[in-house]
Amino acid sequence: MMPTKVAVLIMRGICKRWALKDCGSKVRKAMLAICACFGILPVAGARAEAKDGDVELGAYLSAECVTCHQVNAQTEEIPQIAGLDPNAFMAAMQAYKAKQREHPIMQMMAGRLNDEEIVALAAYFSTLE
Amino acid sequence: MTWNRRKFLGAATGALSAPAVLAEGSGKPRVVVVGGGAGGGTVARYIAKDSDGAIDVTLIEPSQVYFSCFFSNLYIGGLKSIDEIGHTYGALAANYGINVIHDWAVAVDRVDKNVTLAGGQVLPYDKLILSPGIDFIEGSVPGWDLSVQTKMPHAYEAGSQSQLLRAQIENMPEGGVYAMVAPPNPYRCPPGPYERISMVAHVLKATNPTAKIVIADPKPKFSKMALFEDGWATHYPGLIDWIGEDFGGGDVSVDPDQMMLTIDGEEMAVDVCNVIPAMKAGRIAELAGVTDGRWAPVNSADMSSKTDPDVYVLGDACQQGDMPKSGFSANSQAKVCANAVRGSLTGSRIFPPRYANTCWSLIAVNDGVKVGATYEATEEKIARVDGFVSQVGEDANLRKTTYEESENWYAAITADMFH
Amino acid sequence: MATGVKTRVKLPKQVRAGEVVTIKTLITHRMESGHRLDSDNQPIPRSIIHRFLCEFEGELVIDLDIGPGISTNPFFEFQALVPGPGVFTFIWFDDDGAIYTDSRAISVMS
Repeated sequence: MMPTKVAVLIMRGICKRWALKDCGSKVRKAMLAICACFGILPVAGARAEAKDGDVELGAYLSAECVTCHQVNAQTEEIPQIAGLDPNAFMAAMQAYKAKQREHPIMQMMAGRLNDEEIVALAAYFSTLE
Repeated sequence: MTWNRRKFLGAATGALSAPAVLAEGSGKPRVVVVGGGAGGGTVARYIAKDSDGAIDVTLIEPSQVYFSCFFSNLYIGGLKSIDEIGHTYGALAANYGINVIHDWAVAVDRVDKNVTLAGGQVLPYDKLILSPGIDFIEGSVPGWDLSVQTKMPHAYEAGSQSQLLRAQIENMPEGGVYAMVAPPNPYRCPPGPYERISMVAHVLKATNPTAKIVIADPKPKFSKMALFEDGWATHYPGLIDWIGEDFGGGDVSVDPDQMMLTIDGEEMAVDVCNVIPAMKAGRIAELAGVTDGRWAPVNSADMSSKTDPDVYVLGDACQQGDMPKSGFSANSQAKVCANAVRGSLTGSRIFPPRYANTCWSLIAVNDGVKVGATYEATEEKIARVDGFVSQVGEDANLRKTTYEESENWYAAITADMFH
Repeated sequence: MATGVKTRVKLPKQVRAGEVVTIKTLITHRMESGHRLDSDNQPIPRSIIHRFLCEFEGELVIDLDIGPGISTNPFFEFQALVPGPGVFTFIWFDDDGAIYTDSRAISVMS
């Protein structure tokens, strides 16, 4: 139960932070996302761990990211890719996908990534220096 | 039926069923890319980078320095220097071994599979990628042709044209008139003319507040229209007069000698006349015989020409479906194309195509807006899946963030093209 | 007083008697709805064109009440039967009391 409690606490924080009007189904979706990164639940039949991801697929998909995100240069509004924590990255993608986290471009881009693709990206990014 | 050389060679090649021709000497497959912009720069870089030397990549681009069309309006508005929008090709050669040739491609032989350069050199290819951008359609604005572009600039290919337009705006007499003849659809960078109007207004408001801006537009509406009209009313009240199709904006002619512009039968004297004519694919696409009408139709799965599977067309020049003609689109298409070309030449994995676009526009200092969408390949075309657009009445902080985001994007995409 | 207001009208210069013509009008106007807040979170006062009128030789063609939901630069397109030569008059009424007018003469082919 402990990790779930942690997740619930985090969710409350998220709801407060983004001042969500309607939390019902969004909470459930985000719960899944957050539980996934605590390694509690399987996602789409595969455990969401970066080491299991398809690095080559991730490399291909990452081409879409680097139009805006540089690998090794942090800019004011757009974070760099290298050094991202894989679990934090996967949770962020799931949160954008569930529209729990605000940003129209990221919601759109993450919105069409399936779970396998998110893991593949995490796998590829963890190979970067 | 007459047998010309092309048909004969085509038949002969078929009879011999020759395997893929490898480049002389190196034994590696050869890719020739024509045009070093957002499509060509990106595709050359990705093929060379990801194939790790297994493919010979040659990039043909006449200019030593590429001035990006995106952000060139910010140069006109005085917010960027010309150097900030200029990029060179040195890193593509040094980092990835791309053979960069500064010359014009003047002919394509799709039977013998080679490209002839203006300097006389003939380059064989296994795969040819054309990303030549746009050319203007002669006669689309009566009275205007390329010979008067130094008098009535288009500034729709960035560089010296942008510098000329900026100088003309700075030298306008007090209370003078800046006129734009906007292009018909489809054209490069749908919000571009209107971002330019915003930037010209930004300059005139500060330096020449009694000046006027007139836009003659053959379209009844335009990209991000509500956002621009709202922004113009906020930042530049009374300065901008947009005459759309409903009020005769499509019935236009110019007289460059007299600096006169006629809209819907009414003649007016103008001090700057920024003519952006109707557009078509860059000429090499037509010379290669892969155009149908104004543009080059491509397959949505890999950007290959519908005429020839060994020729690919990227960016503004291609006709693909729903994606706007933008640098972001060309960059996105280039990555799908690079993956497919590399796969077919080296057997590397080919992943399903996926496309995206975002266009940022600046209405005033720190007042940025954006529109974006994702796209997928269908049998018929590249089709829009999902999208968003900035809203009228957003708060100033969000608009400022949007502008800063566009600056960060600019740094990233130019690195993705050239470094 | 609203700034930068400009009117624009398009209709044929010449018609046949009894012909129906399409008339297009536009006024460049902010159309501030009164529902927005400024940067200090204070409401921005409503300032819109609230009425538009078109007459032909003193006879009413169209009379519109306009609400704050209408977007910037209101555009109206409508049709009118032209019985004979005459002048169309167009009048826009601003919340701030200003009245903007425009007119167009139309002739009839013999």
